[in-house]
Amino acid sequence: MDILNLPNCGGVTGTFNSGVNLCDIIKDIPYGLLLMDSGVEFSEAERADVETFVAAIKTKTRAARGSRVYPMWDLVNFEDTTKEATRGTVGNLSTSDIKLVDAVPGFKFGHYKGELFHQKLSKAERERLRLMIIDQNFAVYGTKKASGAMTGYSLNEFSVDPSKFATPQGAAQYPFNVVLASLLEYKDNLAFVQTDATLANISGLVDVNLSLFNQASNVMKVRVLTDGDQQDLYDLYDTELGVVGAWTLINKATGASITITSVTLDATNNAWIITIDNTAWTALASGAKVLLNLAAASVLSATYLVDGYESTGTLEITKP
Amino acid sequence: MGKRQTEIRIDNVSFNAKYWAQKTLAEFKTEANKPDAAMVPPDVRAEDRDAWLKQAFDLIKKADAGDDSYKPDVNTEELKLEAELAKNMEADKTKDKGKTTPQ
Repeated sequence: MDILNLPNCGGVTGTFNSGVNLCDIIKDIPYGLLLMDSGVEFSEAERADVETFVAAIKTKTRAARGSRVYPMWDLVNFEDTTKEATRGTVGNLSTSDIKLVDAVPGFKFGHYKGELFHQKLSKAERERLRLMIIDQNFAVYGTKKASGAMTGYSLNEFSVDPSKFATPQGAAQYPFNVVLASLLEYKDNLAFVQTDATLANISGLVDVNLSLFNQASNVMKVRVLTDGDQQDLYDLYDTELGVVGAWTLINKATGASITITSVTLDATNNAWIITIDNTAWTALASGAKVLLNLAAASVLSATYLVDGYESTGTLEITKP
Repeated sequence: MGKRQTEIRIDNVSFNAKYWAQKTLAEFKTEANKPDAAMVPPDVRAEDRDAWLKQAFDLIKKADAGDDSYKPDVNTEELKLEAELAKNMEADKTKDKGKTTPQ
């Protein structure tokens, strides 16, 4: 049948039915968010059951940047800021309003994690992330792609408002806003997965900073503190990070890997003593730079049981 | 044969097994005895240092070779105790063999 110039007036071409499903889902108040890099999606295999889905999310929170999920929990002060649909008048002798343009959903959230976290949240404004919303019943809401994969909603805006001091009438406030980019994603291509409380055990990565305590020839003493609150990782993971494989070292100029030959603990200074291959070190010219870093978050988590931390960047060491 | 290991920790000093297994004991000791080196635990006595380095090097070679007796995290004091225990048990067995059952 030729469908050219054939309007859909319902009838034999309609798809609507009014029977009510025996089981359905009702959106509850948002409790958490999964922000995610643009390419992140969850395949049908990753949605096979709740345990598999939760494990897939956990894995992606430790993945390399560009493929990572950033969970946030314990949201407060939720507000639906979706504007009313734009309506227009039709008719001549008698008029009525009809909907012209649907409003794209917008939401205001708050957290109560503090100033340092609020400052970090601002970085998300520039990262073109996608968003899944998790309600208090641990239902995860996102959108379904043509491929069948589930991903987060694309955003027109992710903005962090200035924090507010507490008042005698109320607590301090840490508000932020999202405006979705596509009503199609939100409404027509709705996707949800009903999970359980195990989802909320997944945390995001904490940034850590490396610093050089001292250096003598090819032997470096390095300290690691969390960004912001300066918690000393030596107090938590001295032994776990006291292994060769937890560290990486490259020649800054060439990008070539340089061998770390041993790692020892310095309990007096809360530092790890990293010894570099002496032959390679000697071969470097004076002024040459090497870049020391912790292994990737996924490696620290899976292999060395140091879960939930990521170095903010390499420690540059100059050969005298 | 077990799996070849890339690292081994001996008395809380982690060694790159793959790297050191390619060196000689002399090279290992030379590096370890440099003034700024930090390859020997601070509680090893000066008179025990050489023996500790030899034992560490042997363990590194075992780790790299995938020796089945290899443990990824070694405490040399525990190894010493295990060896003494094994020796005592062997001595007890020999003593028991010599005894005869009364008629």
